[in-house]
Amino acid sequence: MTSPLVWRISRESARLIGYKCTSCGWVSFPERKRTCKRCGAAPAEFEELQMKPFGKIISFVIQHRLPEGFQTPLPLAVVEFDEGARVYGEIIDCRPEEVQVGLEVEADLRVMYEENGLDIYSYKFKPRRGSA
Amino acid sequence: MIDFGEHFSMSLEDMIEEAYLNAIASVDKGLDPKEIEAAWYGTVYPAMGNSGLVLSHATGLFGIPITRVENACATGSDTFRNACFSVAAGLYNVVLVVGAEKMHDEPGGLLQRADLKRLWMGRGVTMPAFFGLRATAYMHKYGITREQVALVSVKNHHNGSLYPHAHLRFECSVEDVVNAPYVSYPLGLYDCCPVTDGAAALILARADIATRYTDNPVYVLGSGLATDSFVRGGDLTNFRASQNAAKQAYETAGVKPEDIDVAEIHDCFSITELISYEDLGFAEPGQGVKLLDEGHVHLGGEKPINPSGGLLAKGHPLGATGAAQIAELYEQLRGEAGPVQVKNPEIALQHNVGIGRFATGSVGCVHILGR
Repeated sequence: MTSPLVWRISRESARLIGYKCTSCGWVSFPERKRTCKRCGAAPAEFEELQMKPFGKIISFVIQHRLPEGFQTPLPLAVVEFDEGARVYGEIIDCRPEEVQVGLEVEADLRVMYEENGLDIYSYKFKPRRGSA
Repeated sequence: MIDFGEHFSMSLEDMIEEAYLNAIASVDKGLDPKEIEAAWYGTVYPAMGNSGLVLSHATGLFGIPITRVENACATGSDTFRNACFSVAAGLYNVVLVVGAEKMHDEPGGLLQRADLKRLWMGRGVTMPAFFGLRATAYMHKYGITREQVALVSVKNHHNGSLYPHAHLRFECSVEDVVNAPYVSYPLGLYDCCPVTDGAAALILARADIATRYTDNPVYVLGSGLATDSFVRGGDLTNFRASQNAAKQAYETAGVKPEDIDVAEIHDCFSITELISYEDLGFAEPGQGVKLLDEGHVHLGGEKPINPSGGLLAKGHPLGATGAAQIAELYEQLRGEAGPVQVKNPEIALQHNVGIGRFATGSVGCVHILGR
């Protein structure tokens, strides 16, 4: 069984579906909202938006102290998708020294943790290489 | 307030009791507990349940309204703010404000809030990470080094070494700060406040009757409170919650940043104080380090900031922090701050910026006090 917390956002989270405010352009992800968190429109009109798995690092830290289950040192970043949505994300498939502000990254579906014998998937981010 | 520190031998209620007794004893012309008509109680972790009843049990005040307030790291100051409203509205003559936090009873502590079993919000984002993300963005945008950010820790640990209520009473150097183990790069151990137990109590009375209790009252001139979220955009080099709270406080007080003589501001991490200089209008964006380089914000400077040692040295018992800052500024304005007394201050500023909603946003709170 998936926790309600995860289940509520499962469609948007897994498919990278965002919601764009038609008055100011702010993008809500992964939660579907009825009011805009940037311009305050209430009710706001949102358009469903299929985001691409691409973005860039706005800022980052290298985590050295984390709860059980995480491996450290762990690069953790604020990532802004090309469509504007902002999220926290783990940076993978690179050395911590490669992580920098402005680095272009690609969202990659990974197992995040296990709950009641079920693998819970979501996105981590890896440097965008080659084909970009 | 009580001495901040690791109070394994004291319960949450023991700490509140001591802070309350200290506050009553500090009233120049005396205060009968029966004169207290209502109380506000701020705490973040409901170590003994989440109602106002803890304050009743700690103080013996039953049968009067007691409200518990929680608002991230601005809990203590928002508790005070709500008590101010009741007095300003003319509902009560005398009320009590208590902020308290027991940080050492739970071995897991705040770290557990960055739980692995969470998607997007807060996953792996500890408090040092939330502020570390600000540090990286700030240092990147303005070309600031870790050594420059460390000047905040050096200043505040110096002040804390002199301040009797501080948890950590030692000095440190820039080298100590930058060579300490990383907690959340770019923040190391001495860029972070310690884990601290504490409590602070304040007595608030209507301005027109304050002289019944003291000939030397301190007045609340202004107050502000605001929230913000990182998902709204912006470059992560400031806290709009602080900026908006400060704007409200300056406007209600009718004063400007340059009028502030002394301030206790939120330095949960070194970078937080640096950014807050700018959010509070003490420096232009990217120029905060100049205040440290020029000694402007040091104990003997023009605008001493965190003479108590701040959260970095004094400690940061979440719910107690804002209330303690106000208690410290009360002493500063009355000339009673002993070894950390600044020269003849008339207007003081108190500031908190906390994080909430699984580390996605911030809460800013600012008060302005005057003689």
